[in-house]
Amino acid sequence: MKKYIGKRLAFTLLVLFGVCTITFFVSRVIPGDPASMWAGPKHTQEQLEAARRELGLDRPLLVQYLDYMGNLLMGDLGVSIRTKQPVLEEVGRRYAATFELVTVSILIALVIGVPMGVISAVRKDKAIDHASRAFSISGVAMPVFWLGLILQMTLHGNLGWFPLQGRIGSMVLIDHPINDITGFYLFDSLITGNWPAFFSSIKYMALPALTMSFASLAIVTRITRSSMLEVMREDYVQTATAYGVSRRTILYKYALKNALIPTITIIGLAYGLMLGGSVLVESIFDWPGLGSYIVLSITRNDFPGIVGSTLVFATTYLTINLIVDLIYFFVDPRIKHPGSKG
Amino acid sequence: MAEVINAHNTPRWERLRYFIHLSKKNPLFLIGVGVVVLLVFAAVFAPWITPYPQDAKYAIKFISKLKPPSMDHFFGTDALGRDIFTRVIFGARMSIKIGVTVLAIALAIGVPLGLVAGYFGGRIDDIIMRLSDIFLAFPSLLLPLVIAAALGPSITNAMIAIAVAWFPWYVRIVRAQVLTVKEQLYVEAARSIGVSRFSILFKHVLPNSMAPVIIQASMDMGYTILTAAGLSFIGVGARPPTVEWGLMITDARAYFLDFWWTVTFPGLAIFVTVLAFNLVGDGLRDILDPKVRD
Amino acid sequence: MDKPILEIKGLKTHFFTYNGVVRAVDGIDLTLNRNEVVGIVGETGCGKSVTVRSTMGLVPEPGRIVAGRVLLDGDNLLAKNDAELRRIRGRRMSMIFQNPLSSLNPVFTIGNQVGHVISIHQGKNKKEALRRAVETFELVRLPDPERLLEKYPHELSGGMLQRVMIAMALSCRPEVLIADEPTTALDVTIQAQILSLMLRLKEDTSTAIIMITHDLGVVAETCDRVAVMYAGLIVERGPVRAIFSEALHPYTEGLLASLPGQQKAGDVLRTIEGLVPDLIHPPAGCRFHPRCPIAQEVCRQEVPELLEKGDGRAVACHFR
Repeated sequence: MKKYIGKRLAFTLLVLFGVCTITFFVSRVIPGDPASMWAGPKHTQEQLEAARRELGLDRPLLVQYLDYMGNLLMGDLGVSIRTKQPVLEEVGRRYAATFELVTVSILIALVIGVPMGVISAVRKDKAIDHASRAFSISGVAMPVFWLGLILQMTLHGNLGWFPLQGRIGSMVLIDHPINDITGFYLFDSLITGNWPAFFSSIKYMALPALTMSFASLAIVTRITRSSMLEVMREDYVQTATAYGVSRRTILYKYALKNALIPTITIIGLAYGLMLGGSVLVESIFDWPGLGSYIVLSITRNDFPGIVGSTLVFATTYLTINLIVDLIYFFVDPRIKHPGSKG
Repeated sequence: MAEVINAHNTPRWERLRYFIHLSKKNPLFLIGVGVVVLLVFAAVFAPWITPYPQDAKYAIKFISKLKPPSMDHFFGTDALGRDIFTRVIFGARMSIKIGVTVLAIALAIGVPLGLVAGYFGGRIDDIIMRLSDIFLAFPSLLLPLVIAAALGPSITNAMIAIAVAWFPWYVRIVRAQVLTVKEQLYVEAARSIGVSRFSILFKHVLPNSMAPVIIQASMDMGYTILTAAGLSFIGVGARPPTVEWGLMITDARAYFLDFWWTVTFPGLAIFVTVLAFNLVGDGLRDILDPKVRD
Repeated sequence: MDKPILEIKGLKTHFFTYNGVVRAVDGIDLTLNRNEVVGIVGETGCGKSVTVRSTMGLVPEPGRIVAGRVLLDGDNLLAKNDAELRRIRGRRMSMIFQNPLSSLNPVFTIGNQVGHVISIHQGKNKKEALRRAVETFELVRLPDPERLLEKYPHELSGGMLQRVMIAMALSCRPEVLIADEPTTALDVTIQAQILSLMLRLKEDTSTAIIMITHDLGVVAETCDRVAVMYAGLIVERGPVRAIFSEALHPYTEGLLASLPGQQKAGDVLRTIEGLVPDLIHPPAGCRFHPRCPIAQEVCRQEVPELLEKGDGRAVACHFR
């Protein structure tokens, strides 16, 4: 097992290296001159030259690349051309916002999706099955940014139930500041008993989380349903019936445990979708996370910002996939205890 | 009892009839196909079937700006007074173009690579797979985003970006299928009678590996359009005066809260299109996958 | 004479499919006496599995039992509702299946599964149930029974798994045990062990057994009486010795003759000409007539009834 983890880690690092390289070179090609951004508005030619030297843009591309990679190995992600702050710091701050949003969305997808999939399978071909299948099929077809706008239009514009944008009410943040323990507003406010901040955070998170989880919810429902159906057809379900086990026990104990195994794989996929989708969702809801950061970096040719945030995204994604594979390992006894046919 | 062999008994006819029979059992598939056909029709005949074809170009008519849906303007008008219905139809034209272009490129690169990786294995396989893994380590939208930004905002560049970011999926799919097909008895049989490796590759392995690719590609038609719209939404895809659904939505962000139709209809168009292609892909999977058949 | 423990009368089970009605079991009469092993033998698709599944109410969709009675010690099982049937399954009637590995749940331990069956039928708590499971494992001569409780199905060999299944089947001391091709998936040597185990258990626990198989060798070794099925009907029935020494029905004759070992070296292997019939449109009259060497005009027109011939034998043929 340790060998497996070791191999995977090495592999992950290799892939991340590749990601860095590609992102570095691609982002250096973005049209526009980073030096002029660095030098500020209304710069003179001299200031421009100075900026170019400062940023190392006058050196060959390969040298710039090696420099960057060298710094990276020491944990230095460079300085943002746009904000002149260290990228690592900025990314760190914004990461918590994105991660919190994505995790809550995953939870929504699982907590609603799995039961819905199970019910759909158990009541196959009845009304609720048709409804849930219709939802599954349309859920993945819906443009995430459109959904966000529609939700804003209806649940904020027409009904006024939820705020339009942002992560928390600005007045609330001033009156009841949140202790920065993990950077997750929900968690931090909860454990410090900061109820006004907690409820405000929930209200502000509702629409973005709903938007973000929609597609994954559809996928989870669908996979759970088909997995359940497949398991229900297996021989061992028939055996259980032949021994007088009640239908309820068969479904919710014997079948479900088997059916959930494929769902675990989906979690990795869903994370990937959501991390990518954060770019769109955060733009719509003005969510101060990594997604909006990368958009800002792109529009301003801030290549340290671009590479830095892409790196963080990719690392998260790969790590989640690794964890999912490990969970799989623990949950399926066939992998944990390889049989020896005695 | 001799079997009468005529034109309708030959295998090809049988397969076609069976295909039609299976299609009929799958009404959603037919609906999807119907919508796609409608879409292509709209795309091809856009200039002739729309009421205000000039609105797809440079027309600016402030007099009719931001009018709600009516008999004159089925989907209302946007901030520049342009008929949204017309622009949605022209958007279909662009979407089809996007889907076909991206897939053509992605398949042209991905399928051969997947064939080679799966069939020849060894070092080549490792290299190709490592490269694919790097591409696939970027969570969904990110790589197309960065590439599109690098190439400069335009819908053409967005198409290239998406194709480049996506072809590794096809490498993976084709490779996985080739690995299975490679072990089949008929391939072994062909090898044992001395058929050349390339012959086997093209005559046996390739055709039998295409089923998952076809299924994925039909669903990806929809997802490409979705991704391109997303890129346009952010601003690294289509730019004015291109008529593209994602661009229409982002243009409307300034006033959509009070003028719901500016955002609803383009988005609905995307949704229906992607849904249709998904239904087609799903239906094809039911038809082509022997395990799922009766 | 003792009353039979199980009586199947006029059982008909049909499958209502898209292509038509498959008449898988079309009128079966069979009795099982206490302390007896009755075999049901026939080719794949002849309806033997469907017959026994029908007795326990385990017919899958789109199948339905359309006629008949199944009397377990006088009690008609087909008239019972689901709750009542659940109390009988595993408790008064048990079934073991062909493939033990796929018949057990891969993500639960053996102890969990067997123990669960024991606790629902005998109302014992978990510890008691597990203890009882260990006892049953000892009964079927499984080595190291306590450790077995913690193992998962895929960790055991086919032979051991089948013993586990037999243990599970007998754990609540049922009156009838149905064995649906229990040794088909096993090696020949293991097969012999399992069969002799089953016979010994029959004596020890006085459980009557129905043995489903397509293998006449198994029938010869284990069964007291046998019923030969073809295309959904019983064509011959009687004591094993009598049938093996002189079969009455042409189909049974053909089966016995086709066993390798009947011929001398260099002879051609005997087969039964033709194919198993379509059960949606079975042949008119006697269903075997297209393949029967002695078929006459009457066979094409009238279905032969299963008639008693004395000595416990019965045959469905116009000429035997």
